[in-house]
Amino acid sequence: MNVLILGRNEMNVKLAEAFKKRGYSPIVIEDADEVKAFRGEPGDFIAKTGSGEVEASFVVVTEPARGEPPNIEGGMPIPLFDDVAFEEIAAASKEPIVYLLDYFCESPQAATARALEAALALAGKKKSVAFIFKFMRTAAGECEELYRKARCAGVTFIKYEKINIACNSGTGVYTIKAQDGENEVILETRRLIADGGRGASCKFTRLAEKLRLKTAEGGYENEGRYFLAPAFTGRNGVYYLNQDLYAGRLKEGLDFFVSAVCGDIGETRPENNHAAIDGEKCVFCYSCYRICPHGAMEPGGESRVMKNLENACKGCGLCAVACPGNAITMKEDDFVETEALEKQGKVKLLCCENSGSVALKEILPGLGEQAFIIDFQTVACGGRAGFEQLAESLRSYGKVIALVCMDDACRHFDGNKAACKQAARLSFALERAGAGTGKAFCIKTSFAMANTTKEDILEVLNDCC
Amino acid sequence: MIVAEQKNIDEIRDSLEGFKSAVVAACGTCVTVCMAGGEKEALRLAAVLEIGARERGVQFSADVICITRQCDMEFLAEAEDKLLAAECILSLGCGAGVQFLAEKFPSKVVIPGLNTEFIGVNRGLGYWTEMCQGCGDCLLAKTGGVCPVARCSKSNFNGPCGGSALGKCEINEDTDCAWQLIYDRMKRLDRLEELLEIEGARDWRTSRDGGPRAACREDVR
Amino acid sequence: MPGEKGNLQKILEQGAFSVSAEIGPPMGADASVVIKKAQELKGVVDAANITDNQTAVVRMSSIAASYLSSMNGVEPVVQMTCRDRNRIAIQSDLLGAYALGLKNLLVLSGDHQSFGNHPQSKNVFDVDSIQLLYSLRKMKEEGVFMGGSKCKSPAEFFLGATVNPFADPEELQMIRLRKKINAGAQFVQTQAIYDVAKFAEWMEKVRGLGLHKKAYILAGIVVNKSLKSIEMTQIVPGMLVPCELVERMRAAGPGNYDSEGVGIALDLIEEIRKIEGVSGIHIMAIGWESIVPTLVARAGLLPRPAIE
Repeated sequence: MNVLILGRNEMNVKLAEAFKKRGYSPIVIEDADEVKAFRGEPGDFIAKTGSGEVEASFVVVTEPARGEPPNIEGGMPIPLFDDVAFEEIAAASKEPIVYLLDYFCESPQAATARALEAALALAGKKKSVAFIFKFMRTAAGECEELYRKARCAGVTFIKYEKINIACNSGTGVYTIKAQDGENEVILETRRLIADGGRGASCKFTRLAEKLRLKTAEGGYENEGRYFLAPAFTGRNGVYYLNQDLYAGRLKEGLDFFVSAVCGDIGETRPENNHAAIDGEKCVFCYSCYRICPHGAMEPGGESRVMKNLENACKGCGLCAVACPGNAITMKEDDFVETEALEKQGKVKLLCCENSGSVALKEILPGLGEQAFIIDFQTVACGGRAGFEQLAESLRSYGKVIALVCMDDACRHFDGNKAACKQAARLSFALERAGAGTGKAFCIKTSFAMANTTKEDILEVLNDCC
Repeated sequence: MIVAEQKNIDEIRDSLEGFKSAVVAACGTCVTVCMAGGEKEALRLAAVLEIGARERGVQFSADVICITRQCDMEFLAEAEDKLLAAECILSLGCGAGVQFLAEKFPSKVVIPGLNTEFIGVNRGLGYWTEMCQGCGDCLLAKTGGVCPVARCSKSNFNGPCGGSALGKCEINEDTDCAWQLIYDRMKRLDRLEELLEIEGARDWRTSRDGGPRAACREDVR
Repeated sequence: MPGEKGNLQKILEQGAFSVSAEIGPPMGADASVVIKKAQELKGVVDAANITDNQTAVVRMSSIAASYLSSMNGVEPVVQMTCRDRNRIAIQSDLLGAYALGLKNLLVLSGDHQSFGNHPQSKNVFDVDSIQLLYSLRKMKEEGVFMGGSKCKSPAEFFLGATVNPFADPEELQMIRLRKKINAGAQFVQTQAIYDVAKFAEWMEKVRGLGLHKKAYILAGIVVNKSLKSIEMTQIVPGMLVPCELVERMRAAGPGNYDSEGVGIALDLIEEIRKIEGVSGIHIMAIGWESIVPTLVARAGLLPRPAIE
């Protein structure tokens, strides 16, 4: 399966290696402008370049989205925050410092945390710090605690809706006018520092337009959420590697990203995924015939081997779980465990593509760094996460969770319940085998239940690793 | 079909105490169909035993082999290499399979992984009920095709006991009263009068009570 | 004396309305419990059933307790279930019982062991109640054991069976009663009767088949001491308790339940006696054996008839 990596990014090499290890064929196009046109569907994309067409099953955009810091009136750029800038400012005069958290929509959690840490550190150096922001995630992860500490340390938080920044190039003083709809605050400082960029880079913008990713307010956004946050964009089969998010934890970040993308590819599974029956092993017991919710199993007539009606088969895999003779495998099987990445101490999450994976995309950003310990994989139905799949995962993972539909939402006639029962049976068996409790879980969710599901998942993650 | 159920894993684990490895021998016939000892269950059991051992800090590995029928020696011979190399054999066959393995591989410890339960039928996915007790003297012709020996809790031959109510057995509501079933069938077949005949005391020699049985077809021996 | 008929059989044969009760043997080896119960019933009943590990709970053996009862003035009806013994043990025990002078035998299937205090036990059911009745009749009439060999001094019990007039399916239950009588039952004790109208209908069918002439039908009577006991009886499968009777008990109010229970039993006895073909009553005063003398007296059934 081809994966097209688009953009100039220092992580490209490692990313391509990781995909290769998982059995995919990466194709890298470093100059995003080389892509002239883009079309197709997940599993079957075609990118037109100057030198011909490139086919790919899915696409990863690695081109940094963040542009240069904006030039403002007076022509002086706002310095971006980094270690050098920090040392310089920390050592400088007693002037007030203004820290600009410059995301136009809700900022990524990691960015918020970094900004709050910086503000806190500056305040700790007896500086007077003003922190101005449009939207901030204080309720996520460690941010709440950082926010409280920063307030206690004397950082002034200013929320704005509109902002105007001017710079006197002669004196080097920035004049910041921030309006929150009712009041206007005017700050003057020679020490303005910014996190993030005011807009997307031109190259990224052009690429995003060709890939038909949605844009809003200068950032790329999907129904109110920046896709800049986790791995997902608003378009199926197109993923975005936001290097900034993984700053300081590049290895885990890359692992997580690759795992998330590979896990999600289940959804771009070709339509022809269906049950393949090994005639030698089939005992003709009718278990598959009885469990199949789509009437896709039929006695094979004289051959006394069950037959799969490929047109009716939805590829849910319930039959493969039920088959006592181990005679059924799913074509394009989504359960090939690869040995590529470190799994010890991590959690394997098998998500139903109907509900689990949808909910998970909402949940992952909010899990913060804990998301790194999750490897997830999309399955056609929760019921596919049977005893042996869960057990197979536990051979290398610390825990395994099946994330399945709520009752009645299952498209495969109680496949969700089957998953819960199988997880319970596995837990019971493992406990009796001396493996202790709390290894296999089944969580019911729906796309509208991201919050409660997040709590459920955190509960599993927290008493682990 | 012979219906069996997997033993509790802690019992299997205890039986395997001291062994560092085992070959889990599935059987491809009855116990596969009743989801107790087929290849799938053998793989599942092997995985659970291995994970359990790992978590307890014990060295243990399980290999899986599927024998078409553990009750026929030719199929045991097919698996000979692997079974002879095994440290011990965990058989997921019925009681017959376990014993035949033990007999054919005298140097090996053979451990049963299943409890063999009854001769029964499949009444839907994952549900089996007892139908026959192998008594060796079938009287189904007289009882409308419903066996009072196997299906009446008291093996009554002459009608229901006083504990039958609304077609259910006194022992629990999930058990049909065999005599209600016999009555329904005989009435439908318009043969109710036949039930008036007193069925005499049984000759149980044809059953297990007569000692271990053998069946012998002289014409083909 | 071997060959001599027992009290119960003689009373029934002379056409008198019989009265019998029950003695539950103790869950221990204390003979005095049986003796005390027998002494209370002496002269009040014609015979008393001595239960055989009823509800599959281990108790003193029916035959031993029967002997104690007979020594203390109450003729016992030995009970024998098919649950615990194979045909060798059953015949052996019954030969012994007959040798001890016990004359009456009630044959039952026996409650399944899962209800008792040894649910782990293996059940036997080598023969069922009808097969046992039939073979005891053959022993009596032809002098043979079940295995076919000759029996020099056979046990010649007055054989009884049980019947539940309210059990379903009715048609099959009637077939079963006919089989029991054909197999050798000389008397039949019924399940507790509360619904007299329904019982009368059933008796009409019994008379239609002439069964009342082939065996004595003894109607079962339960005396309830409390509202709770009659309510519990109502929900037992196979028991038919009309709501009016439960209401009557409730209306009596706490403190009067015992006297109302006796009143109900007396009314039932009075009505049942009017039904053609009923030869006697069998009183089951579960956990309240001491009320039996009062009940029998107030029903006008005392003194018990002398044997001619």
